[in-house]
Amino acid sequence: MSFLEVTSLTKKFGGLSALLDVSLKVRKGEILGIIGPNGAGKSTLFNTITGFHKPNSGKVVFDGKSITDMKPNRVAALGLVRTWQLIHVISPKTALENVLLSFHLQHRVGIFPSVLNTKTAYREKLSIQVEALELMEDMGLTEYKDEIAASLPYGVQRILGICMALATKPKLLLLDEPTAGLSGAETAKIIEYIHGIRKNGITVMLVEHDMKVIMNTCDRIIVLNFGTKLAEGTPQEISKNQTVIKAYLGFETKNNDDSA
Amino acid sequence: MQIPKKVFAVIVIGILLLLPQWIESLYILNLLIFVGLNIILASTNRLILRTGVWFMGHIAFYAIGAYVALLGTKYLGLNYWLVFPLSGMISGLVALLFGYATSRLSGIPFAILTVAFVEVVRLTIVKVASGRPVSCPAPDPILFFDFSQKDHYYYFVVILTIAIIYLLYLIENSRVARTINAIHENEPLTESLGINCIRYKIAIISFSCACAGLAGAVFAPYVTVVGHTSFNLNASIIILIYVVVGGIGSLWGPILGAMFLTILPELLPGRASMQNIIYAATVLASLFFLPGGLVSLPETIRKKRFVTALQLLKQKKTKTPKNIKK
Repeated sequence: MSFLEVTSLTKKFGGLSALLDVSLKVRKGEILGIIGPNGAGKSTLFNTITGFHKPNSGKVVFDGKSITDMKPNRVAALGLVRTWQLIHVISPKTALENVLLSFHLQHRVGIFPSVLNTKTAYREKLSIQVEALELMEDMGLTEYKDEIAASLPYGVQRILGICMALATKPKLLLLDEPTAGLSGAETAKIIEYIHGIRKNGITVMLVEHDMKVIMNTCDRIIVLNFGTKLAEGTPQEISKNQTVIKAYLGFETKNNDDSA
Repeated sequence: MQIPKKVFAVIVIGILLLLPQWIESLYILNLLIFVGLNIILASTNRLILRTGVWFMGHIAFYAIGAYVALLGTKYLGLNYWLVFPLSGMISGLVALLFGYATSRLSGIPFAILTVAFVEVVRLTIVKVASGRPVSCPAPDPILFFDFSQKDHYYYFVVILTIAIIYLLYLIENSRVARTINAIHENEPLTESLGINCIRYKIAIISFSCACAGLAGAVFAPYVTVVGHTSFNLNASIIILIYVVVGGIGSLWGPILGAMFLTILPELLPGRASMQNIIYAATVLASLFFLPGGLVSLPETIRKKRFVTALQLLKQKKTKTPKNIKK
């Protein structure tokens, strides 16, 4: 049974179809890569799945529940959580405050007791602080916890963004270009984290431009071009697929070896 | 740290409650009552502004509170102490509906809508009262208040103001403040963490407007004659001026702003005609010289005085290693 099932999803902006009749399935426990040239509709796919865009037609079913017209916060509460491509953190707050904010869904005590700071609310506040610090330690962020998020190095901000998404206790994590603009060493670190996330039982869906990341992490790859699904398969299959190579390079190669 | 803070609060409250014993002048007492009401309006309006919506219609909810109190006691003959919480509830409810109706808007369209709402409420008042001011009966006596004298209103306003400031203080120190801040900074990111931003905004607007309504319910019997001119757009913008001049970044900002700007025009000659000019000048001055508001004054002075070449050097030394370290 598939964990996330997208059925003939279409999203139009005016006359332009950003997504046209896209269907895909995500299996539980896998790492699925979404690749495609610029403007292929990868980010639109993420935005539409997580409820930030309303699809013109099509269906999204997550974990047996239809989430097609659900608000983003409800989608996140169900365990389908995304990260962002450009701004990952609340800039003027410290790293710890960012993570504490992300623990919002874990609060069981309501708003009124929290404001009045009752005994149970206080106890919960402490336990969540401990959890947040533990999570930050796992992600290697302890030394940055009291620094303002905007002043952190770009790579650390990225990791903090992933840490915040993990704080919501997702079942399926959608990473939107997690390594864009990072150095080789930082990219290697992110790859390590992605494997770690999967080991913790979280399914991962990944939009990425860096082929090295895709080939090193993904079990399966889906290729988008002009809003439609071009191909689907294992990294090996995709790297040999002629239509994919044509979409990327603009011409067909006669004798292709392994992926570059 | 904990105990001195509490002691300080007790001392301030004590002084505020004992003030009428020392001050004979009704004029000053009257001024202090308005300072209290303006503090409530400014600090609750700040709470709304902190969620990132441009809310300019606070005075409309003050008006609703005032008129609920007036109509309830005068025409329905209800006890004032029944009407008082009711006026807060009705203001909050109207704000709730207003928030739901406008939840898709943000930025300037929302600001225009709040401005329009002020006019809608004001014109409704004009229509209902056919443009004439209406007299409001004094509140029924309760406990040791009988509202025959001005200082009874003073005690009541002080208690109400302190209660609301305390609530705002609790909110400021809870996780709600963190969430509001995040909504202001980046709404999509906050939403993706599972936080219902619209519900938070509406709840904050509703709570703040309920407080404004309570303030209005005190205002109406206090001034005894209520007319639509107290609730025009100008009055709503003056509340924003309190917030801006005092400083939006801190809970104490609007309190300082409301105190400063309510008392300042009284100290200068020809106050009635000069009020708007004084406010305009203060806003410009504060935007130029104190963008952080009056609350940032001590810090600004400290910075101006002590930032020397040596300190700049020190800052450089402490900052660079962190940036190099990955």
